Amino acid sequence: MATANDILQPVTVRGWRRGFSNLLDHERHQLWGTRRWLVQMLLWIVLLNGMLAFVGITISLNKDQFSAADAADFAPGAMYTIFMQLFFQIAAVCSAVGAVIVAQGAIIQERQMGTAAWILSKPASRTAFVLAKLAAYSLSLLVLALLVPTLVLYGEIYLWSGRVPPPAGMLPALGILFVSVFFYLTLTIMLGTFFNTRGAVLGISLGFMFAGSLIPSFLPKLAAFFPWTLGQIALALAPGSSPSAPLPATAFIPVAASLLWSLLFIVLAIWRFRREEF
Amino acid sequence: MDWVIQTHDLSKTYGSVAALQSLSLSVPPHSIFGFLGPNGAGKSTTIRLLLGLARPTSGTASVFGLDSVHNSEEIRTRVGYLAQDPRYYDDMTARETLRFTLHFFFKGPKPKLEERIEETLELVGLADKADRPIKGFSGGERQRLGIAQAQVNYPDLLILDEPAASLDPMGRRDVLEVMERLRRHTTIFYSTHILSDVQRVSDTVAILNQGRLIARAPIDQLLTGDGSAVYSLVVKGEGASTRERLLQQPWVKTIAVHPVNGTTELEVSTTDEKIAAECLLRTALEDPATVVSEFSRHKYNLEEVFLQLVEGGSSDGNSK
Repeated sequence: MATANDILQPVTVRGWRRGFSNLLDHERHQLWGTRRWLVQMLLWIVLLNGMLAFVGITISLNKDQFSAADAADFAPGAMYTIFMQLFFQIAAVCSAVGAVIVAQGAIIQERQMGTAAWILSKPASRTAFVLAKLAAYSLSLLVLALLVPTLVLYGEIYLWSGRVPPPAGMLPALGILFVSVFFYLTLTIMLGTFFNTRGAVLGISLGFMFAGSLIPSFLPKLAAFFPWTLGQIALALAPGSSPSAPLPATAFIPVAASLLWSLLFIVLAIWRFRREEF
Repeated sequence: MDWVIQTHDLSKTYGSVAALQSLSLSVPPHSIFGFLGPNGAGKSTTIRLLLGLARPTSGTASVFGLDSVHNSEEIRTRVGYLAQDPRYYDDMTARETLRFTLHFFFKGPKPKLEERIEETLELVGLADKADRPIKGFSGGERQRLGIAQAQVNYPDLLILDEPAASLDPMGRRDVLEVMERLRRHTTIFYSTHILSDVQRVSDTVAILNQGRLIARAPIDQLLTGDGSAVYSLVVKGEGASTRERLLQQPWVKTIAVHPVNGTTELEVSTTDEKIAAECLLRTALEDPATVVSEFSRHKYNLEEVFLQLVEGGSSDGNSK
């Protein structure tokens, strides 16, 4: 039997990458190999595009009753702006909350179920375990929470305004939204390595998120170092959604700060998980 | 000798609780090493330390000469492990679980990997259930899957934590048969509290109690008790005169008396096995009034030895 291993090609990767590709395949299969992706996609579309469709349908149905002034407010050009603003406002909040909800059990559940101990009894590094989860969740949120609803947005905007936003202009705005999603994703995964209950992870992540609606009013300088204003920055970057002048360079400080925080959260998550005992 | 497992003063403390205290142990290659002890003795803790799932508070452990803390990944490349309460992804099938496991060790070629999976499923008798989700599996089927996933990489060392604990007698028999089949190819280190299983398949046992090693010996040696040969002599009547006569012999250490339905069993502990074998019966029969109905070498079973050691709480000299 021992010689039978000679006909197989051993995994040669060593160190922190050991097991990463297998774990990533597994995580991807858990979502994309089952109906979970379809359920999640429909939920994201309902959440992010549902309100826009509701507004569009309501306006279309009541078009005949509008006064001349109202009709100007809902002209195709104005509808374009309304849809873009609505989409980015909803997406900024929902995608961040969604990231926290989706990832809250990523580490805790595996620890509690005992599957983490099982996997780590195989030649897989703990760093790979954390990073595979992060990569898989990032990809699924990027596609399902941002890209697919954006495609649906294109259809909605075209239907009610007759024009579409230029993709080159949309990408930076979506990129900023993804920075926000990534921040909350890394925060949630990092908290999952420190705490044993989902309640603590959920409470801290959502608490931090909602603190963002209060703190900038009292301490505006502090807000520059956190992701709370990323939704507004994304909206300002979205083509034709905001009439204001181009953003000053300082507006991008929250973007850089959020990316740095995310990096710190990843390092902390790996540091903590490597010390975990099973 | 190149030991497969070697620990030196290995200790693990959780808060104020000492789960394992100064364990020094060596496991030879190609043995079936039974790791015995009551619940909470420290068996699973030892296994987790060997696999790098936990860190020792003090002392060292090595597997294949590799340090369990610093070379844990390399160790796990050569080890198969079955946990006491194994958990897998319930929505995966047995085949998918083995494929997932095997990909931690090998990357190809795909047909050969599938062949290996099929072979392992056959080995544990799960071939007909290979494509059913695990969530519908019985306890016995899960345990078989556990052995399959531990064995699928053909490890040099198989570590099994209570492999037969949750199984019915038939399931236990099957697991022990698989272990006996694997003995030729690998070293098996397994923990259990089912003593009859140990006596059946193990070559060497270690007994752990309250985190301490209280005995370690080849099973035959352990079953001879404290090293002296013990004979059972059943005589008609009370056997008092026979007892007196035997006690006068310099090679007789002690005699325990057990009256049974008009006969008496004399359990004679001797210091010299050879002389006892030649002279004991002859000495007893020198008294014409003595009628012997049975004479045999007394064999302890593991349960007697285990209880004696665990309840006595001290090493019996067989250790190490």
